[in-house]
Amino acid sequence: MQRSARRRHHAVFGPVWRLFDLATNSLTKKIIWLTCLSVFLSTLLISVMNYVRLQDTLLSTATEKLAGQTRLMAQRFKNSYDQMESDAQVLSYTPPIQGIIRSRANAGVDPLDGSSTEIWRERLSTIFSSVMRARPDYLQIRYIGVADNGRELVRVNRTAFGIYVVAEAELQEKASEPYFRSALDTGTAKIQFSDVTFNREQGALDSALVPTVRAVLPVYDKSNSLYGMIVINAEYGRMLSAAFEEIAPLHDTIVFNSAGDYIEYGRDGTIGELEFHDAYSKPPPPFLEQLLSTDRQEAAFTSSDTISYFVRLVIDPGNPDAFLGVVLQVPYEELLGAALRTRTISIITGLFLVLACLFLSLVLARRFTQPLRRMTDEIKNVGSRTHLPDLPLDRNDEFGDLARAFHKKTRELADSEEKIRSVFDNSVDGILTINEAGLIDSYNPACEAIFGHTAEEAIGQNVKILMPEPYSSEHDKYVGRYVRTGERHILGETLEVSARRKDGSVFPIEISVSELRSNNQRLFSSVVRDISERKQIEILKDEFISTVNHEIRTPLTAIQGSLGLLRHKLADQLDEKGEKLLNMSYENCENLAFLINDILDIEKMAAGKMEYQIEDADLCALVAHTVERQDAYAEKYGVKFVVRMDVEAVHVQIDQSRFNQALVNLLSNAAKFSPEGGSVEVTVSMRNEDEVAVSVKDYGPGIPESFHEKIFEKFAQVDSSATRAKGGTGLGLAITKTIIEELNGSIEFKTEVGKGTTFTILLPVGVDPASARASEIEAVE
Amino acid sequence: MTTDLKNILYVEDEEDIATVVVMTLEELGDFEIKHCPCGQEALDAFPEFDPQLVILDVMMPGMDGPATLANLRKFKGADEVPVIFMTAKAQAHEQQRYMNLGAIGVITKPFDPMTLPDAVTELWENRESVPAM
Repeated sequence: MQRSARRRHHAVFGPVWRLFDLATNSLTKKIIWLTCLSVFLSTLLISVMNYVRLQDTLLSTATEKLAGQTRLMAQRFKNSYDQMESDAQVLSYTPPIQGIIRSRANAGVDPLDGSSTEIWRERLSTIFSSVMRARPDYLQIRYIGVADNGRELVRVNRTAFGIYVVAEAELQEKASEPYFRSALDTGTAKIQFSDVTFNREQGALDSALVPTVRAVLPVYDKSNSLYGMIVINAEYGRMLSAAFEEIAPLHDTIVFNSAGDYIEYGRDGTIGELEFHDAYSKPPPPFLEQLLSTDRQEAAFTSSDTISYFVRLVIDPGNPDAFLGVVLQVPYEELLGAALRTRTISIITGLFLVLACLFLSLVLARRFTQPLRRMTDEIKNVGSRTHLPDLPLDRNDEFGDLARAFHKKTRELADSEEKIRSVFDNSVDGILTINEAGLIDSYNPACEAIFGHTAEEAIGQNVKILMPEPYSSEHDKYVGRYVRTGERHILGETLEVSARRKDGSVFPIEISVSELRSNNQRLFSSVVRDISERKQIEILKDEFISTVNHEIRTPLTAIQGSLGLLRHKLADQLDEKGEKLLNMSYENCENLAFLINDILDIEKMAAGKMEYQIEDADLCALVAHTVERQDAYAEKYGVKFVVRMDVEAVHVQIDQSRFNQALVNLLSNAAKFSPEGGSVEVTVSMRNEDEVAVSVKDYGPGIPESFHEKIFEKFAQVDSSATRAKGGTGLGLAITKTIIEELNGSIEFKTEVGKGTTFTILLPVGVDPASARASEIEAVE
Repeated sequence: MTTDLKNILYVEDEEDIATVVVMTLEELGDFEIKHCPCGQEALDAFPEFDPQLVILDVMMPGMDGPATLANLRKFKGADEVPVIFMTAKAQAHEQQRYMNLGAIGVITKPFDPMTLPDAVTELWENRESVPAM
C-alpha cells in the first residue's frame, strides 16, 4: 500500500526527482551545477545592471538631444512668424505707403513728386507682387485703410494661375473682420497675428477653405494717427510644411497651436495635412489636450512605447494664449537601441560563458573528483585485504590531508581492533556475540576451548547448540520476546547456567549478557566462564566443612556428655574448686558447640547458600512459641521473659525456623545481659500499616556509644571478657541482621548505658517475599 | 500411650558418644538401652529387642541413619516404631529433611546429658502431636 503510493508519487515527481538527484548525488555533478549556476547568475546580474545603467544614461542623453531638436524646430516655426513680421515691417517702410496717404490727402496727387494715387498703388502692387513671388506660402498682401469702412487700398492675391493685382473695383471693405477690429482696438504699433481661420472674401468664407494666418501691421500717417494696416495672409499649413521641409526632423513631430489645429510630420519625411480644429479629418493624439491646458514651457513625457518632448512657443507676446506647440516623439526602441543591443549581447555572452563553464567544470570536476573516487575504491576494498588502503599520502592538497587523516584513523582503528582482537583471542573467558536471530556472530578461541566447537563450526549456527535442554528449545522464544517487547531475562546480570559441549556433556557456566549495537544491528554479547572447576571446588569445600563439622562435634559431644554426667555423678563429692572447674569445662564445651553452629551459618550466608523456606505465618503465635521454648534458658540466667501482644494476630511471609534463630539470638543476648531477677520484655506491635515490630527489651548495662556502629559486625563484643563471662560467640547479631534482611525486614536498636537496650525487628506485613524470589528464579531459567 | 518408655534401640558408630549416651539414658532416664555400632546390627537386633523407640545417628559409615531407617521400615512391625535422629548437622533445613523421613524428632550434637532423657521422653510422648513442620 505504502509502496504503491510512493511509486505513484514517483511517477508524478519523477522528472523533478531525477533533476534533483542529478544535482546532488555526485560531487562532480554538484561542481558542474554550481559553476554553471554561479556563472549564469553573475552574467545575468552584470547584464541587468549594465542594461539598467545604460538605459538610464541613454534615456537622459536622448531626452536632452530630443529637447534640443524640439527647441530647434520651435525656433524654426518662430522664424516663419518673424519673417512675416519683418516682411510687413519692410513693406510699411516702402515709399508707396506714405505716398498713397499723401496723394489721397491731396486730392489724388502727391504734393512731393506729383505722383497720383493710382501711380502709388501700382507701385505698391508691384512691391507686394515681388514679395509674394519670394514667399510661396503668402496668399494675399493687402494695404487696408481705416477710412471708408476699412476699404482695401491695394491687394495682391495668389491664385492657381499666378499672382495678380486686384482691380480697384473689386476691392472689399474689411471693417467687420476680426483682425481689422482687433488692430483698431489694441491701438498699438506692433504687429499682430490673427487666429488661424479660413479665409473670408466679401464677408463670407472663401469656398477654398484654406486655413489662414494673418499678420496685421498698423500704418500711421505723418500726424501719427492710424491710417490703415498692412495685412499678410499666409497659408498656415504651407507655412508649417515649409519649416518641416527645411529642417526635415529625424523624428515624428507634431506642431499645434492654441486653437488645437495640428499638423503631423513623419520621420520618413511625410507631412500630413493641416488638421483644422473645426474640421478634423482624424482626431488629434490624446496628449494634445493635456498639452493645450498646461502652462509649462517645456516638458518631456512618455507613453508605453515612446518618449516625447514638448516646447511651447509664444507667437504674440501680447497674447500668451496664442502659442505654437512642438512635440517630438521618438520610440523607445530607437532611443534605447544601443541598450537593447547590449542586452542581447550580454545574453549571448552569458550563454556562451555558461557553455564554456559547463565544459570547463566538467573537465575540472572530473579531475578533482578522480582522486576521491580512487580513494573511495581503495577504502571500500580495505575489508578484503589485510594491509592498509593505498592512499595518495604524498599529495599537498586537501586530498592528501584527507588521505593522511583517513590513514591515521585507519591505523588507529586497526591498532585498537588489534588490541581488542588480542583481548578477544587471548581472553580466558569465552566471548561470543549473537544476532537478533540467535545466530552466533563471533566466537573467540576461549569459547572453542570451553565448548569444543571450533569458531568455524560455531559461527553462523544458532546459539542453541551450546545449550542443553530445556534451555535450547526455549532460547528462540526468549530472544524473540526480548526483541519484540524488551522484556529481559538474563540481560545485564551474571548468572550461573548449564551449557552443553560439542560432545554433549553438560557443564555449569557463568554468563553475563549485554546488548550492543553494531552497524544498526542489535547484537547480544556474552562473556562465558566455565565454572565446572569452581563448582567442583565448592562441592569439595562443602564436603570438607561438613566433615570438619562432624569430626569436631563427635569428640565435643563425647566430652560435653561426659562432663555433664560427671557433674551429675560427682555433685556431692567435689569441693568448691573442683565443681567450678567442672562447670567451666562444661560451659566452654557448650560455647564451642554454639560457635561451630554460628560459624557454619555465617559461612553459608557469606556464600549466599543459606536457604529460606518462606511461608505464611502468624507472627504472634511464632513469637509466643519461641519465647516459651527459651524459658529454660531464662531460668538459667535467673530472668523472666514477659510477652506482650499489642495485636491479636499478624501474618507475615517468613522462614519460621530462621526467624526463630534470629529471635533466639536476641532473647539469649537479653537474658545474658539482664541483671539477675530482672525481666526481659518481648512485644509484638504494629509500627505502621505495613510493618510489624517485634522488640526485645532488657534492663541490662546498655551498649556504650562507641560500640553502636560495630554492634552488627562479626565477632563484635563490647568486652572480650564477656565471651567467657556470659558465653556467646559474637556472631549472633550479625546472623540475626542477615536473616532479618533476607526476610525483607530490618533491625534497629535503642540503648541507654545503665538502663538497658531494646532490639526491634521490623517485618513487612502480608507482603509475599516468596513471589519476588520466585520471579528471580524464573529469570534465571 | 499410657505405657512408659522403656526399651530404646540406639544406633551409633562413635563408641565414646555411645558410652556417654547409654550411660546418661540408663542412669538418668532409667531406660533400657540396646546399643548397636552400625545400621546392619540394629536391623539384626531389632526383631528380638523390639524397642519402643529407635535413636539413630545420621552419619555412619556404610549404612547411614536415613538408610537404616528406610530398611527398618521394611520390617514387619517396625514400620511404625518412632525414630529420633541424633546428628551433628544442626542446620534447620537438614533437620527438616530428617523430620520428613518420618522421625518424631531430631537431637543435635553436642547435647546436654542432664536434659537428654527428658528431651527423649518429651519427643516420645508428643510423637503423635508432632507438627508437620
